[in-house]
Amino acid sequence: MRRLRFWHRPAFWGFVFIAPWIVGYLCFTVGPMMGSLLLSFCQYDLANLKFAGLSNYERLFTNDPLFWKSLWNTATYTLFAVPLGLTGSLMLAVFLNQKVRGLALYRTLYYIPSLVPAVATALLWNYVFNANFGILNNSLRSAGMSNPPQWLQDPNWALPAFVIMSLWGIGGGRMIIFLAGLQGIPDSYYEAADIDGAGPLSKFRHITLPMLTPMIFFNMVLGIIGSFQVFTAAYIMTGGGPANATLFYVLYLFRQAFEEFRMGYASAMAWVLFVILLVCTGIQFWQAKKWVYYEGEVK
Amino acid sequence: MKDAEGDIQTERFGLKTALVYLVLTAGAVLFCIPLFWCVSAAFKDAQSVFRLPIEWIPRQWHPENFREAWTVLPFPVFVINTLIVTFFAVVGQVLSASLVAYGFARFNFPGRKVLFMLVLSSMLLPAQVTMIPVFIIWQKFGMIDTFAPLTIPAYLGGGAFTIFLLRQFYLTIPRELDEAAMIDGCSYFGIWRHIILPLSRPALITVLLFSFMANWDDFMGPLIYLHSQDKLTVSIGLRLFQDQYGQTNLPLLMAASLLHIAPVVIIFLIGQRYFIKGIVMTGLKG
Amino acid sequence: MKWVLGILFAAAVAMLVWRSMPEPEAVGKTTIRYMAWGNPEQLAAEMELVAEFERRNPHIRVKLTLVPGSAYYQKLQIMLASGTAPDVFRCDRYQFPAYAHRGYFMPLTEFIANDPEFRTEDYFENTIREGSYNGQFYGPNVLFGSRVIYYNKTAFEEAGLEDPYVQYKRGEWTLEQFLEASEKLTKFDERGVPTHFGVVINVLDAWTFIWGFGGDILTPDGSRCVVDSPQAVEALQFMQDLIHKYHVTPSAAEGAMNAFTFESGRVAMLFNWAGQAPIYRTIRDFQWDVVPVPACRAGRISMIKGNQLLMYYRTEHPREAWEFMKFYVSRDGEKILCTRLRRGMPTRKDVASMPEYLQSTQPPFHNDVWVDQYKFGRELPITDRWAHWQREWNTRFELMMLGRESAADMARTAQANINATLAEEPF
Repeated sequence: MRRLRFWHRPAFWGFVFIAPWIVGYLCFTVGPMMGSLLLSFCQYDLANLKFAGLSNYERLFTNDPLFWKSLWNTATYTLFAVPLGLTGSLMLAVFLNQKVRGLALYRTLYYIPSLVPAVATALLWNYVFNANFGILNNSLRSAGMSNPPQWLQDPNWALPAFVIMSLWGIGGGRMIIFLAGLQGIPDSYYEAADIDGAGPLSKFRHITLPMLTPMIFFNMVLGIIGSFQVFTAAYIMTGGGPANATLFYVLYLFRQAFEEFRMGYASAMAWVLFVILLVCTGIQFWQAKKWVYYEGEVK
Repeated sequence: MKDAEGDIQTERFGLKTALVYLVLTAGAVLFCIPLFWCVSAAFKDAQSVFRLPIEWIPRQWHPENFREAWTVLPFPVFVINTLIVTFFAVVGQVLSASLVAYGFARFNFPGRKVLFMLVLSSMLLPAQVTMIPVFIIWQKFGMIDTFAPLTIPAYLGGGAFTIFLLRQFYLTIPRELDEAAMIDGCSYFGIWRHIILPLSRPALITVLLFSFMANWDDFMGPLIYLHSQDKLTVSIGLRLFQDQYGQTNLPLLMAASLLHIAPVVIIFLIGQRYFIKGIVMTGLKG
Repeated sequence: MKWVLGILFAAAVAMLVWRSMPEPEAVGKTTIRYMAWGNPEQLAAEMELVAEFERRNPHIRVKLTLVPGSAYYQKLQIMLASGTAPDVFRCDRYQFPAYAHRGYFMPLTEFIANDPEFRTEDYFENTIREGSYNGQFYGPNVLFGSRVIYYNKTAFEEAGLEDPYVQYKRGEWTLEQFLEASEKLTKFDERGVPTHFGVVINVLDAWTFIWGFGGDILTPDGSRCVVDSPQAVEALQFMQDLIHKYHVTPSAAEGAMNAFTFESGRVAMLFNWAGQAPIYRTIRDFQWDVVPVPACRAGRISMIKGNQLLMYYRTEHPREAWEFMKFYVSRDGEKILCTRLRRGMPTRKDVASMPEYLQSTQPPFHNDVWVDQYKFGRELPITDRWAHWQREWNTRFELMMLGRESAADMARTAQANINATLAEEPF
């Protein structure tokens, strides 16, 4: 066998192909990440740089009630938005996988809300939630509710409002992934189940759901990461109010960085978020072995 | 239910189908209501938009809102700018991500797993962390107030999500095709170009759509990097609109919003033919 | 498919090239960059001013940059941090001390000393004081004015109420009259849903009322919070009552999305700054004008405030920038802004007494209100810590106005928290 020169070796070409990513990663991710880690140990207001040791972290955990509030808001939002969103997308995908006429039209109609750019969505839903003139409360009033919630002006209902708004996108990318997954389930499985006399619910539980676990896992991981970083809607619609009820973590971070000029503190916040997400994702991957079922080697 | 030849037979019209139709239709109406309202509001005038009960069909039509929205701020300029940025960024992302994903999917090189983990982990990092240092980098290169910071990063990997998506897709393409091509004397690059790319069309189109949306909607990027008024993009323009007219002229704001929404929807409607076809094709393959 | 892509690509490249082409900079001219925010009318006036300036100084060109108001400071901050800030820019009074503290601005003391055309005596004292920090002068005052009440004359007439301006001129227009008018001008429909409100206020008006009742929020040097006093609590209670007891002001939910705007005619009185006047001038459905804030027990005290026009400390064209700034607050410059644009008060004493300013052909006709309010006005105690304590104040105020906290509790909590914020080392 001829001795392979290194540029004939597949491994070398592997590196060549991923080279663009390596360059980008070093310049735009690793470098700045290290920079912001260093910043988190300093106080930096864009004019003066001062080393501050662990004081940012210390303050964050012991002396900043808004840190905990924003974390609580974000965690609560995630706790509701992700499962509801996953369930909604899954159910929708099941329905959109049926043999009915006009399927393409339905799929498009459900997908369009997820296409609406974030800024426009925020402006639109700002109106939908308007307590007096918005569609939501007027529908609720027509349905008989005499005192519908004040939504974005009520500290107790503002966060639920954001959860509801997040559900508008269940017909989007998540659902497409579930749809692709559903269509990847061989019919032979269902036919075998029919022969065994299984009903639709049983088929769902024992065939559909297990086959979909990779997609559920994927959507769940990304869903949690995404909802921890919710920002634009709150920024545009409520600015974190009323009374910090919708002060999401990244919004608070943004404020610290760009409105209070506390770059070091904001960097510390960012790293805390990073660690939280890392741990969360790590746990999910670890647990995945127990319930995610891959047909054939994919990972 | 498919019969032996694999053709789709239409189901007998039963209770189950009726239920499905009902749910789907009700749901679709519910989902589209906010958009109906947006369109309806865009045609009203500032006073009647708050009239109760809600007027779904405007009593008086004001199509001039669109013309006004288009002209009162330099919207055409915003749109052109956004198109430029989006086009170059999307091209960059699609090409770059597919190359990188190919590398991860097909080649076994030392550290492959670790590097891929790094790719995924970069999705966890909130943008705010790297934002300031990255800005300073661009400023040292003198590229502030150009489109460079918004487009060049797309060519360097194209984003973790797209790499991930494409890699997963490539893993499903049988290696035998690669091997057959190599026997025929194809280079690795040739395999990418002639086998992987064509076969992954639905995935590429998906990536294209996601990328288009992300770039069209980008708010933070243009806000930080673009200063001159003639370089602003539509998302900033819409925010300008909200500041100036959002409080006083809601229909104008809705009209402007629709102008922002429309291109994405149109692109999607054009592309969804490939999109849906791709999904169906994947289904049949399984 | 391929040639579609090809055409798209060619089009994109063409657009990019067109967009990247440098603007035809006139040879031999110095270009300075000027950044501001503003509503369209404001911007139109600025452009007029810029045109006039360029006409008088043919060797200078001013490039105006427009930034969305809501994101202005974020952008400015980044520009300041990275050394790309414009030569001249406007800054609101709220942010001025914080930025000045960081040394972003070019001190103008030397420019003034060497320039006979600019004399501080020409200007109202407050306007110069506002633009100074730590003994140095940084910013001529622009967009100066006070917070005033815009009122719907037609609504008052139709309700058979006396015009508040007439009452004011008579030495009245007290808080009681204000409340009475608000109640008479609030209307509900058969379902009990409000259709018209008497007055709209916001968190800034707490200053007016608290001062009016004899209290204060911060000490005048801005170092300590003193809002937990019986007078201030009374004022806050009054504000809360406007929503929850007298129902003359929309609650947060009712007022969302500005469903009750002054322009819609659904609000009879509105507290706002001078800058709104050009916007209201587009109103055709009713007549309106301005009247000072009502006289409360301890006096009639309005807030006065302007913005600062500032020079970047790293500008490459300080001379030209100074010329532009000087023109902006010169007699002719202010004439354009204040007589043509009519938004509030000039900073120059001579323009403020000009008949062209005092008499107008368009509303507001009561231009003496601005000058009067200056006489009995008070500055806000803005320091470089302003942004830090405002958050807490706004949150507490919001909660109180939602009816979730009594005024007394609010004042107590606010004072404790704000003093804690002010006391800590800035970090």
